[in-house]
Amino acid sequence: MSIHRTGNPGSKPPVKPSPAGPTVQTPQQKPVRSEDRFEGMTRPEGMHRLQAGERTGLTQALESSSPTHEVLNEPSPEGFDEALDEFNLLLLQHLRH
Amino acid sequence: MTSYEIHCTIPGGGTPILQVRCGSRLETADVHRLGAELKLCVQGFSGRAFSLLLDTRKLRETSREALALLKRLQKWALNRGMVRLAHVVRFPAMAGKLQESYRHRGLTSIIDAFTEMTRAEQFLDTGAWA
Repeated sequence: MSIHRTGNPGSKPPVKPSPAGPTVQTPQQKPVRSEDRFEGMTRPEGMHRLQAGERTGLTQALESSSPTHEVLNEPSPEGFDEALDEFNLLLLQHLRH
Repeated sequence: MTSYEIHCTIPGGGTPILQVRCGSRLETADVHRLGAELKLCVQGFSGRAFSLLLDTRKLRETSREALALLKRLQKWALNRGMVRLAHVVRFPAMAGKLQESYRHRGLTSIIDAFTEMTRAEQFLDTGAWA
């Protein structure tokens, strides 16, 4: 039995065309952007998304160090105290009207 | 605008000006927070003289308690290097009454009232305004 080859030596055998079928499309991937950048990840322990106006231990600690909490018994120029009282009084009056 | 904003500017005179601009509503919690932030700013000055500007022109709602705390803050600042204090108010009539009061008490070298920022800044920078 002999093998009969056609075509030039080295040439590639004709490629059988593949049957035309529906092309499989990979779903388009859209980048998901998280508001707090923890989307799809394990949120580190102890971290949670802060809500607007939410008070944390840090803000509470900061506020507790506010001079408004200090006991003030400090000298001020004569009349300064009364001048600030008058400012407060006039401001309240004008806001009410 | 939130309950307040703090800005620090250093004008030509070289004395830093801490500008506190109140929003439309100022509550006691806001003043506590403001105090904490103000303290950090003043600590950053390391004893250097500074001026304080309190802008209440946008303020529409507050309480007696919040203002009492605000007064406390201003007195605190006075003993931490504050050399001048400017009250910027919305109503010229109120500014007039305050100017008269501060003048009457002989305090106009350290405290004065204004309706315009430029004059207030001039006072805080140089101690005088035209």
